[in-house]
Amino acid sequence: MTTKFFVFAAGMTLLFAACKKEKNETPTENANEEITTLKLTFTNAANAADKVVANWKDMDGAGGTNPVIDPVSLKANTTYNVTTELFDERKNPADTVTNEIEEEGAEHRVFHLFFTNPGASVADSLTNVATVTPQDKDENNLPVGLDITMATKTAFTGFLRVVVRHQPGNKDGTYAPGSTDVLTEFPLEIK
Amino acid sequence: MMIRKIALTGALLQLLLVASASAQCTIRLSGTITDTDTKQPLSGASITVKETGLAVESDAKGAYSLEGLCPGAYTVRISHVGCVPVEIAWQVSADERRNIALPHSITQLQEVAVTGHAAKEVTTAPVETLSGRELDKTRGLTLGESLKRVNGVTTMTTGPNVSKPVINGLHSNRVLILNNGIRQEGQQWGSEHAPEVDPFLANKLVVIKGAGSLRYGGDAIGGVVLAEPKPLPVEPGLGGEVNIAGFSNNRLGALSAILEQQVPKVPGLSWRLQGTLRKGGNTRTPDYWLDNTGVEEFNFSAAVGWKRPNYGVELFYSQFNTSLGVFEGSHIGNRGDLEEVIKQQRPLPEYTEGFSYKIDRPYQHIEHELFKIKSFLNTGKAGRLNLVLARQFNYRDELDRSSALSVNQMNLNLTTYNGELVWDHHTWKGFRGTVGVTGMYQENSYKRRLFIPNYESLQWGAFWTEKWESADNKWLVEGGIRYDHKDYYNLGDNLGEVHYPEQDFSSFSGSIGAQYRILDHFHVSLNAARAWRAAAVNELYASGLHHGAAVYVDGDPYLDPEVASKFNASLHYDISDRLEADVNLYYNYIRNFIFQQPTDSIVTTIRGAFPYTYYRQSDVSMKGMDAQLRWHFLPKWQLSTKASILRAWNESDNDWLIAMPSDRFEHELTFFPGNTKRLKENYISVSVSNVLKQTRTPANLTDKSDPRGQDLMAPPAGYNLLNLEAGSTLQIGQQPLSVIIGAGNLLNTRYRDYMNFFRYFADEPGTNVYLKLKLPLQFGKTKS
Repeated sequence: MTTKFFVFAAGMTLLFAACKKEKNETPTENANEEITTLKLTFTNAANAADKVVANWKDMDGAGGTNPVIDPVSLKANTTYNVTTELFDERKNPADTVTNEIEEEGAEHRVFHLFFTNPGASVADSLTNVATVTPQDKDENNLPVGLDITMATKTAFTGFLRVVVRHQPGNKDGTYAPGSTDVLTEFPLEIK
Repeated sequence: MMIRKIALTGALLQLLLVASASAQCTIRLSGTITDTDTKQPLSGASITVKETGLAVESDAKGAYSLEGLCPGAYTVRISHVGCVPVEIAWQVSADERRNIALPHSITQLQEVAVTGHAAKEVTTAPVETLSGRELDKTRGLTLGESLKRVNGVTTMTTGPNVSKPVINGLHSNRVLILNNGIRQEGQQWGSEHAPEVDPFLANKLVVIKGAGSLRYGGDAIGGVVLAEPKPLPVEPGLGGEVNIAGFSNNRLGALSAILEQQVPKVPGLSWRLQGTLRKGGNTRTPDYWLDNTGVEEFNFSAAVGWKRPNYGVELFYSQFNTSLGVFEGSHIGNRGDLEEVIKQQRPLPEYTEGFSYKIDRPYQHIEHELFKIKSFLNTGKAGRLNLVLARQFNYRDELDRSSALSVNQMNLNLTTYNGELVWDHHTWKGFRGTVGVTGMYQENSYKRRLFIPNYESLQWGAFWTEKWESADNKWLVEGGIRYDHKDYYNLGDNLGEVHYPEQDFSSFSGSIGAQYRILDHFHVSLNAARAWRAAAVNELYASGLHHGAAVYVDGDPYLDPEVASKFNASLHYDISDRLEADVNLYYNYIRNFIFQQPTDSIVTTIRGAFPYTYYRQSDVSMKGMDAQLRWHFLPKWQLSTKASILRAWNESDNDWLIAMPSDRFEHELTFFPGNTKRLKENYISVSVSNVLKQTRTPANLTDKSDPRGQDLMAPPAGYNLLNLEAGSTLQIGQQPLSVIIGAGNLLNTRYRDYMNFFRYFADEPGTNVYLKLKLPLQFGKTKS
């Protein structure tokens, strides 16, 4: 009897314990959501008609052709209202990824930093180029950084770095916690 | 009714199932019989294999030789006038030499260990086996960690849960793993993909170093690992084994059980069920926890075999399921984040909070399924024909850290069918050999993120190997030749948008070797082999950001096959239990060696900048030595020393080769207190492993003085680890319970290892205290 039971058990095991097999039946659903575009819109606080729009765009994702990056040219000693938007433009219509940052505002922080050289360490960011003041807050009353004002100072030539830091559970307003979701650099001229 | 059912079951099994013991029925067991006390050879001792009735007598020098055995479990009885007869349970899978000492007088304890030290498999290639106690010591560890006990085998790791065996500097697709006789076809696309094998399945782990194992494939440039289960039981009775292991560091527990039976009423019918559970939590380094480094594993297997003298079938099914947490501090955003972590020298505090069994994103989930049918048919007295058919299915799910901004997830499905038809011929004028054909079809499909494209692959090969032994046992000569062909086709992504060039490769491999037994206790082997390996799919077609590694990887669809010429020279010296010394010298020249080359170039993505790396080829030479010495210098004391040295040179660049293990040494002192009435096979050992700093790394071309060379970080310092272990066998009723207790990294030494990808992020684990229990089971086994 024992024998029969075990032979039976072995058979059942074979029948029912098959592995998970995920054949891909709907290939068009594969495409990962990827951000192709970061768009900055600078509006002169004193003159709404004075607008500067700059895009950082990489339609084919990591690798392949290089991203297309618009240079940013701003006026000295001027305050701009700056909005930062993210899109997946491979989708039609383009997917606005900005909404997801807003929804998870308590986990994200957008930084706008100034550097003399591209790719420089965060520690080398310059504080004398412009004053950045976030205008939006998350549920914990910490800034998100999608809407900011940027008050430029004197003339400057260098780089503007826009960074989205992902800081789940440890966002404290500073740069250090978490990891980087988005990092783009625009050539910047203030004159 | 009962009979009909059994007959029906038998018929079904015959229809459905598979052959057992497919390997050669040409095995020779040999050795010398000596007197325990006088150490003198015993002539005229009778040696009998109880299961087959085969009987021989030892000659004037005490030498014996049992020929023509099939793989299986045997009981060998040795008797001699005036000595206590002994019985040895001998699991046989290949030629072996074993010296046996017979206790002289009746007054001695009959349980005295009668086997000599670990038996040596007779072959010209360097082979090492972990079984018995040595294997018990590794229970609860992953396959990669278990194999580290073998001299010359190191590991390449990605944190505490993922480790891959490295044989003399070669790893991944260059090391074949045979899981119960079947070539493991998992997803070996990178350093963070560990072999999907449950080591509890095996009661023997064999490492064949070097390229000569043509039987298993011409592409084993680094070597072969065999994970072999015990053959199915041949004696009636229900039996089994329970293994339990617990580890303090990550509070990991492992439980594995085997139940097996030779069905009494059906001659030749046997079955086995086996299952393993493993669960561990976060690992602790000396200074902090590594969050999200837990592991959960559930494996099982079932085997049924039906074996008659002239034919047999065996059916085997196994499943391996694991979920591995990946330390979140290692999944960094981009190169800037990585440089920051390296500068900090420890992970951010939010990733080192405390202990938990919870597995969060990022994690990997892997399932591997194997189904195998094995059958054999004796072809008269000439030999035996073996047919093996197998299907493997591998599912891999990788989830990156969660973020609203990207669906960083990848699923891969790899299905493999393979088959082989092999004929073993029995001894004919001193020659024994095997000739066979093998074939394999493979299909991969992915979902979500593209890293490895969809593909199909077809491979076939034919081989012939022969072995010749002189009548006086002094000479052993072996050689073989193999031809393989491999095709990759239907390469594309799931949208059908990207097509990659198809590739096909074919070539010969061969090996030749000789062994000469200068003295009874001293032999020399030489072995030369040529092997080639077609570039693997990841090396050809991978393209994209490497998950967590913060590098951009670019495959090259036009890579040529690697061609290795390997030479081994080994010396083996042993005087019974007293002294054993092994030295293996090797030289391996590999043309078109494929490796990942870091560069100064940067790939700019929306996530920031990533270093660009690509697969390239160079001619390289690898030379080295594995040496070990075991010396029983006092009756109760033993000293053993191992050394493993490797020099890997990139001949094309005229510089050292990147990512190679450094030199290492291990010293162990063991004290055997002797048996008491309740405690047997007792030992206490203390060992020191000494791993040197890897100073041989390629220089940074723009700044030769940069200590980091081509890496982002200089190789970590060398380290010494102190380990302590004790073991015993307790008699509980009729069952012997084997107990091992010990502590790894006893001094809680803080260190990092060059071969661990986590060296950038975090320290290695601290002290780990463990307890391992093994209880063999027998339920009313009928003694014959």
